[in-house]
Amino acid sequence: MMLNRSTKLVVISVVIVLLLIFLHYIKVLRPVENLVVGVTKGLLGYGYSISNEVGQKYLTYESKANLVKENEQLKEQLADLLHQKSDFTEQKDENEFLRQQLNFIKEHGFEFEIANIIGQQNLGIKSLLILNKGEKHGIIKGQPVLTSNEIMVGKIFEVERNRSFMLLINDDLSKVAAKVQNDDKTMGIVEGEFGLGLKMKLIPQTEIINEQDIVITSGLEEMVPAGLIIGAIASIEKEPEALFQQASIKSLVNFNKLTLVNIIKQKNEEN
Amino acid sequence: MKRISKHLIFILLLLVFQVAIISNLPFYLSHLNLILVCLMFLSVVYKFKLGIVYSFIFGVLLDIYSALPFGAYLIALTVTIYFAYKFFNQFLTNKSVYSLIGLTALSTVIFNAIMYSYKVLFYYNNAREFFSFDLLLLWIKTDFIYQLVINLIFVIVLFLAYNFTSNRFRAVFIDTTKQ
Repeated sequence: MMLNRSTKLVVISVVIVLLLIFLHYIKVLRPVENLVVGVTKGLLGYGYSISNEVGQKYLTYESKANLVKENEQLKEQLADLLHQKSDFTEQKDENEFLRQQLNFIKEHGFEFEIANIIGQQNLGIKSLLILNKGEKHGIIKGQPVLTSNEIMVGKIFEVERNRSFMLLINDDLSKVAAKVQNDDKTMGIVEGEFGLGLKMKLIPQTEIINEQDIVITSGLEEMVPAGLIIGAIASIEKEPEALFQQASIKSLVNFNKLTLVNIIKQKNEEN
Repeated sequence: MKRISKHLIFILLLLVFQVAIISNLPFYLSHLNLILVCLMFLSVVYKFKLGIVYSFIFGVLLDIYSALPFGAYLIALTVTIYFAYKFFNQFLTNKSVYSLIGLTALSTVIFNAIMYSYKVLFYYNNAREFFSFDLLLLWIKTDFIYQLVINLIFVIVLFLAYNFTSNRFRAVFIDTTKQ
């Protein structure tokens, strides 16, 4: 029987394969295998150490790259968390402010409008702050503006439909009718001093005032109710020849840190 | 003698690369079956007879460095070459990059199927997952697919490199277009 070329090749291949396997198992191939191992062992070891080094370098590079990536991710997370923290802190402050206002409303029976300070007007008058509430919200020129802890910080200076401008009490243009909480109920006018401080003027020489006395609004102004705290007397300037004495008032508020304010619109009729 | 030395050096280099170097390579390069790719390349570019001779030699060499019973690689490589040869003769008309890619893909599938069978028979038969379909899928996903892709990429690179230095493929292309 004649075999074709392809079949011959297959047969020969099968025979060779089987023969090799057989020779291996009867250990005839052992010397050849030993020789191969002897020759290639060194080369394989050398090749392995080189490739291992390359692999390690790549792993180091990869791990560095991963660290950089991880670092970037952590930075992003940190930024997110800081952002969240900032939001929470802001909300917490706002919450506290609102709680205080609620107590204040209950206590005094005023109608309030809470406003955010959204900017500062720098048109020569430094202490003019922009509020996010305006005519639409019932804001009128002259209404007093308070902080959360019931301290007067200014008055509405100008009103537009959706926003208003508040003049800080320490501005040179600011004037508020005030009285000292002493036995004489000493009256005077609190004026701002170039945005730097407050001064109570027009205090009759005969009146006795003391340092640390609390100065409050007198209620003589139409829009400003009586009893709003302005500050405490820090020092008294009394000159014998002058008709009036005056006192420096220290406000209990840091005017640079105002974010939320409270505008007193009117006395709540229900209370 | 010079010719034999050339072959010996080539075989030695391939063995060192396959056994010692490739396994340590980073990324998915460690999945490359350099010997199989080279066998296919030699079979297509030169002669299948040369591929068969090489498969015997590499079979024995790989078996020496293998934990599988002796003959596993020898049989796997020889059977792979045989099927590649049959496929080439029956379905492919000429030597081209497409033939090369097709044969490499086919040989990778056959070779891996045989090797996987060995592994199942000799190693996994003690495990609960014997002939488990999940295990097969896992092996395909974590090993086989990468090997197939990397083998194909490598054979294309090999073809391009070879094509720069030889007319063996170009001549065939010209002949093919003239038909």
